[in-house]
Amino acid sequence: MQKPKEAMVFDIQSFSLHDGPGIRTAVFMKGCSLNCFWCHNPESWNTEPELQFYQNKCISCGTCAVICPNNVDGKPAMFTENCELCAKCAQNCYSQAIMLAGYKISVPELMKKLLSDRDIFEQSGGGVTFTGGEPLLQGDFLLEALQACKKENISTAVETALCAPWKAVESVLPYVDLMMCDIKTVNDQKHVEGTGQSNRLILENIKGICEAGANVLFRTPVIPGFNDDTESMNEIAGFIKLLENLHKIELLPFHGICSGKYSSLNRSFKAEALISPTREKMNELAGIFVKNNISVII
Amino acid sequence: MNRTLYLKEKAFENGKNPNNNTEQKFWVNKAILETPDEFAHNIRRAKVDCALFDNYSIEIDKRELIVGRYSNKFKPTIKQKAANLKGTAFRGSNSIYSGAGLGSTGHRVLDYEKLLNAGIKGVLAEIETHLDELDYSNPEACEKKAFYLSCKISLEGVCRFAKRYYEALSSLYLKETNTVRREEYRCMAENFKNAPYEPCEHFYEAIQCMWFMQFCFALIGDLCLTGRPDNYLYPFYKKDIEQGVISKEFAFELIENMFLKHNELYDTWPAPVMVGGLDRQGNSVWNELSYMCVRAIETTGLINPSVAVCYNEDMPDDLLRLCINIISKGYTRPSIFNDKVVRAGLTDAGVSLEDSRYYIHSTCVEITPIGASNILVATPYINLNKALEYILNDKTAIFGERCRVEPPVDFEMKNLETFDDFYALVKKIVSGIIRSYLIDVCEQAYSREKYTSCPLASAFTNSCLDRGKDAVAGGARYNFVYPCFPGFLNLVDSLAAIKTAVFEEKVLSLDELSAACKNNFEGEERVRQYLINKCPKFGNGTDEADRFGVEIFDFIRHELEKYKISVGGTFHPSYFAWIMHGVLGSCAAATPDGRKQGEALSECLGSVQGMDKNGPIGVLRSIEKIEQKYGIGGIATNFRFSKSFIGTEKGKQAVADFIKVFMKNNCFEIQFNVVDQADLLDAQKNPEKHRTLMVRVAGYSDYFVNLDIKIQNEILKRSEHGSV
Repeated sequence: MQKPKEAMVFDIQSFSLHDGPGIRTAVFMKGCSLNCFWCHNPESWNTEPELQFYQNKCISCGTCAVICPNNVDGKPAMFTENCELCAKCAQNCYSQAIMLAGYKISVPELMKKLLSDRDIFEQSGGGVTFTGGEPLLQGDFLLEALQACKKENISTAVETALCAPWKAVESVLPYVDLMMCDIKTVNDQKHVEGTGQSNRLILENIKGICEAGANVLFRTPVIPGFNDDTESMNEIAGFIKLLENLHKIELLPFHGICSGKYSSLNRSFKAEALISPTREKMNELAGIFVKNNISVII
Repeated sequence: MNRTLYLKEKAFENGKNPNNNTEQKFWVNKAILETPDEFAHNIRRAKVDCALFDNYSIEIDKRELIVGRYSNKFKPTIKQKAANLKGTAFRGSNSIYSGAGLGSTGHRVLDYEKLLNAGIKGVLAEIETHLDELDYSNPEACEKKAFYLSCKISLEGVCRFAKRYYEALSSLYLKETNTVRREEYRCMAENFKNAPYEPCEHFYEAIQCMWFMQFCFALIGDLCLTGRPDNYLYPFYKKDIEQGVISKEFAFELIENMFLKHNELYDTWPAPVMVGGLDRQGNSVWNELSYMCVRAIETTGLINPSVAVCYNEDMPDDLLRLCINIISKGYTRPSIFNDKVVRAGLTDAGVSLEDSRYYIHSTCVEITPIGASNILVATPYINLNKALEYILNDKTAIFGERCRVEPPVDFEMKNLETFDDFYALVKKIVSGIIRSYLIDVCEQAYSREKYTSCPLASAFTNSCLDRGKDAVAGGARYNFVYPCFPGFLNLVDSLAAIKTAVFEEKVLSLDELSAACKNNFEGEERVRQYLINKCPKFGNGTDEADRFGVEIFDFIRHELEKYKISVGGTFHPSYFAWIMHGVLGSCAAATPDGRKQGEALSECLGSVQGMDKNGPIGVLRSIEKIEQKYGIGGIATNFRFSKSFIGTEKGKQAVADFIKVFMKNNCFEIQFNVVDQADLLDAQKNPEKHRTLMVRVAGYSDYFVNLDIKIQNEILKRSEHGSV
């Protein structure tokens, strides 16, 4: 028998309302093909586990320094090139100031978790949402997990930036009830600036899933100074209108509450100084889609 | 200012400055001094009650529609004061006026159907028949006669009191120059013209009659509460609406008035109103009055009454949404009870099918069949974590309250080699703690049976009249005792922590744990963090901790089966705390789950404050493992949601769905806090700005600024779900 597929995830959250219809369980998968400067899940970028340090939880017991095999000058090697990610510091940090983001879970383990919440899904019209990071990067696991969910009649959603080979996208499509696809911007140059990647593959994939008849919800994070202008939104609306079937779009206002996560990873948050768009701004941008007969959620 | 707002302000102020009982004490003491020859304590009690009915000052507010309130007018003369002192001294040595209530007063609802539909006339007739038929070959005949006479004297006193109200209102009517108010006085007087002696005919008359009766009980110190108005008032409402006697708007205004009266009379004592569920015949009760009672929570906007909804699958969706809307605005009510679970528990405890459908949540969550109960709720509150202190500190308490273990348990800590040894010892000591407390309860109940009485309440408590016995002396059908266990989950989590930390991972020895608890984790913060973060916790759906919840719950239930009080009542557990998790926590040592000395204990079922790391569904997955029907003493589960979460349409729908799944999985009761952390913190700093900021404590609701600082901090520690 084949060994069950495993995935590297950094969180599994029940009672989630922001990732599709009803009450959902969100599976946050590690690894991402983009590098958006406003990202609110920085612990999702790497495919491997990584350390996080929360100063406010530290009780200064000093155990991490003692236990670290590569400690220098009475300090743990965490966040330095000497760190081998053995995670001994995290295991022995009882106050959970040092945490290891990322662990493996197999399809049967995940299914056990999901099945125990089946009654919640059925009552609320919810289900599971694979998000991240980029779930398509762990395509083998994703496919097997989606198939297992469908077998158990659990409704499925995938939140994706679609920056992945078409083959990976195509293979999961039959098992996904809702594809939640990001469109950050249609302008390729801007896309490269904001995310580090061209959007050509993404836009091609979007066309592809629409032609395949997938149930799609577009999502656009509204990032001040990046895409919060009429022109950017007009371009997105124009792109959506040319697709097979007219799908909804959800506009998500930028927020900076994730800045604590950046400092926990010892990284700088490039969008630190940005201010969340106002309600009025969001309404104004939503108006552009309404004018184009596209249903919009804010 | 409209009437409801005016009465709200008035009720809030009157509640805050409660009548100091000067006048009540005066008449009671005087009557006690005047009745020295009355040998039967219940007849004497009835006569004392009548002194209040015949003399207590009648006060009527210039805008209220429902009357019956404490008076502050009374000022005794110097001579009267001196006489009164003598009465006080005498009263102290005489139990006639104390002890009858004990755990029952303020928690029972009477047979209002009988009051409203048969009138006091009907009850008096029943008493006459019993007196006529007394069989004097039965040695109990004289005792029964004294009981019947005590009821009769009380009931006649109530009728005279009502007549005094009729006269007072009639004279106001004659004097009033404002035509609108004059007409109101006429109707108000009319309410007392026939009732309560005669049966009621109209909605207005019935709601006044019920409130008047409640006021009589409050005056004599035997609080008997509103119960299920959408059940017993509905026939009057329906008839009056059909015949065009009243408008729906006026009926709602009366409900609002009645709600505000609760605040005036009881201040923050949580007086129960329950809507929905089933009637005695088994039909679902969801009518216009059910909706009005829920709506009035918001329109009256004060802490009382303690409104609950009795959920069944027939509950209309729009009413559930109305409840969630009101909860989302921070009113903390209604709480929602699972009818099928409660009924199963009651029938299991021997309650008849009919009576099992018709119960009330007492104040918080203690289930009491209506009109048939003499139940000792929350008697007593027991902190079982003392069993751990007993083991860790060589058979004595580490801090605060002493360890009561009956008989004492002998052991040597060094002989506890496995967790099973330890666990078996904990159970043995828990058993001894329960025995020690329950022996006391049995003795109190015995003395209560023999030396106290509540004649007026007995007249409306089944089957007192049929049995010829006072409610406290075996007349009531149901005499359950509900010991309550605040800190239950600290014990559960402590067992899980000891198993993991001491016996499996061997992070520390029992001796070291003992030292850490004795020193309140001083210098042992790392160990404390291990106990908190690295050991399994109840409320996250994980079997490692949940098994102890299930096992200790069952263990306690079976321990309670070993006791019975003199009138035959059995014992059933309660899992809520009112405010006692703060009180008992303040005299309890640090616990092995990482809780520090003096901090509040766990308040309800759910999780220890802040330990529910997997959200509301994690909590549900733990508590559904417990057979909650056995907790008819009452089980509360508190959930705290942020305003931003429950304020959205999606959030409200999710809460509605969550409630339905909660009920499907046989959980007992659910209650909510929707209040932002910032508001709570600001209320601690500026209490005057947050006079009516409400919170769910441990079963009931209170104004946050009223609470002890320990309880305030305990609420701040609870996990807030959906805050991102």
